[in-house]
Amino acid sequence: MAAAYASSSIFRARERLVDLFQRAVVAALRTGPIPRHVAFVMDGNRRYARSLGVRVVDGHVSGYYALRRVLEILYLLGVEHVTAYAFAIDNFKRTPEEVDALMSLAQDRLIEFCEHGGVLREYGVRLVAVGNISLCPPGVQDAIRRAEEMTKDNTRAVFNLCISYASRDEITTAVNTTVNEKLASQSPTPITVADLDAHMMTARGNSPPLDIFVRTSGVLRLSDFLLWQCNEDTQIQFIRRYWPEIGLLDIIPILLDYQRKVWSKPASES
Amino acid sequence: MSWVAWLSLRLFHLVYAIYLALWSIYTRWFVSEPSSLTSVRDKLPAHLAVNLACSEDMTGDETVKEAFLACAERAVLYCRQAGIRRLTMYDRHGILLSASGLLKHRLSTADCAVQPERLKPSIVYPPTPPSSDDSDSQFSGDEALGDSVGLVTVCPELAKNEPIKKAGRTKGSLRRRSRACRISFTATPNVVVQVASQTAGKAVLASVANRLLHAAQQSSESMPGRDAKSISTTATELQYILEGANSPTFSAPDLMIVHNVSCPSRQCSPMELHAFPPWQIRLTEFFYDGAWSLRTRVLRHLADTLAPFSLLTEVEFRKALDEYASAQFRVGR
Repeated sequence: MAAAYASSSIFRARERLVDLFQRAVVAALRTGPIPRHVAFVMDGNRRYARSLGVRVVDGHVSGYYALRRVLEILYLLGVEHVTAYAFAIDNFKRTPEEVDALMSLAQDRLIEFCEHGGVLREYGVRLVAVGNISLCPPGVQDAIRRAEEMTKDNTRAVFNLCISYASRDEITTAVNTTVNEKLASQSPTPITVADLDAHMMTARGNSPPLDIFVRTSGVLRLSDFLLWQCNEDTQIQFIRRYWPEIGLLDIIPILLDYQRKVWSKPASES
Repeated sequence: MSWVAWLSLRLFHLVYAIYLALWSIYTRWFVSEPSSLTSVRDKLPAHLAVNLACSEDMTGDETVKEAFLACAERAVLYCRQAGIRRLTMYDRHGILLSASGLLKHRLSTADCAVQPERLKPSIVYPPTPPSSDDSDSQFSGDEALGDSVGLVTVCPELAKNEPIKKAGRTKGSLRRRSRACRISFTATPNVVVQVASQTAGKAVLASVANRLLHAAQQSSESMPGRDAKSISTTATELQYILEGANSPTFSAPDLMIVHNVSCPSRQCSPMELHAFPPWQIRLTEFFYDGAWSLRTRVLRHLADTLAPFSLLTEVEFRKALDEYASAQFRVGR
């Protein structure tokens, strides 16, 4: 019993130290420029699970905890908009068992995110669901609606959760919406790039241009994620670690690269 | 305590800069040599894009144009040797686009397999008839061939209306074979080279939206008393418009090499896409080597003129092909 108590004390002390270290690093990073909008492709959950010899669904659960961890770090840093690619339209091609497991995970954890003690509640974050939500099961659609309702008055930051999303689908929807609005209003002005910009799904949360795009697991593609938002002045970072493994030590160099970019700009552009 | 945090951040940056410099040396000296251009690889990109970047303040520099043209010539040569049939040379500010006539001339004189020909842009806008153009006009030397959609084809394949590539046995085909021999002196495959700038990107999507709006308005005007019907274009239809099905338009590249031609202000800076058309990069594999070689950076520190630019190298090209060959494509599965 004494050994168990000692072990537990050591564990708590270690957790406390890790937390202190994290806060010290965040405090240091905050003295430099902080990006306003960061996006993640949360890739590698299944490969992570296979590497550990566990079930694929356990890899996705680990991915959920990684998302919580990363969101906490970013909101502590003062990042105002975070976008995460949770489920692609193409992911519906996966086995029904995996799709059902992912939808069930989304349904359960979304509310947990927004409830008392959840990351979004703690940091005053508004949840915006981005994607073709009508393709999701009714239970997930309901959870999304509830989560958005629970967080609609939060103003400190925004979390764009891309679910049932594809960038080409987003661009097509923006084109259709813009054209139909012009038709309805009978406006004589031509459609501009800014008009399409304003109709992208990420505009729902008033998210600014994307500063950093991160993809984990070593894959070097965008995979139909935020193509419109990241093709200009966004830093694209591909990191080798699987998503469930990501932590503060992976985020530090990403932040440092961003700060180096901002500091190297001429004063007139800053 | 804020000064401690400020000092800590500067320390982080110093350590990080040293780490990047060491990593750059390691990747150049201790990583194994990539396979040769002609090596057999598991897969080759059918369409390669090379995205050339330079500092904003150098875009009007004549020497930058020369560096971009040199990169384009090298890329065409490497593509021919590797067996890649389609190449897009892209730069954000249209430097290559404005020099596409010169590029075409240089590629023509470098290899007699290329017959210069002006192709009109082949992006199809539905359903309004295309505006009149001068597609029957002949190429006339050094004029800039950039057009409003920011895309020019410089070196077409020997297409269907060109002399037949394969020799036949009849008298007519013998005549055609002799014409083909006049045009092609080498056995290496030709490369379709397109030159593009950012005007082929988001602006084209806005243009397509305007065409759809115009078509819907015209449809409504032809039926007075009825409201304009709302549109519901699908992603597949947009893909057909933007990438084309039957003609050489701007199809999605399989692999993109992003290359900093001018010296980046920071070693190993992260990749950026420099406004490359967004629709086309959905499944594109990227290759980017953000580090200039140590030798180049040292020369540059001694004097800018010793190493003003970094040209696309064969080693970089081969590394990109090796990365592409080892990539796995699951497409959501």
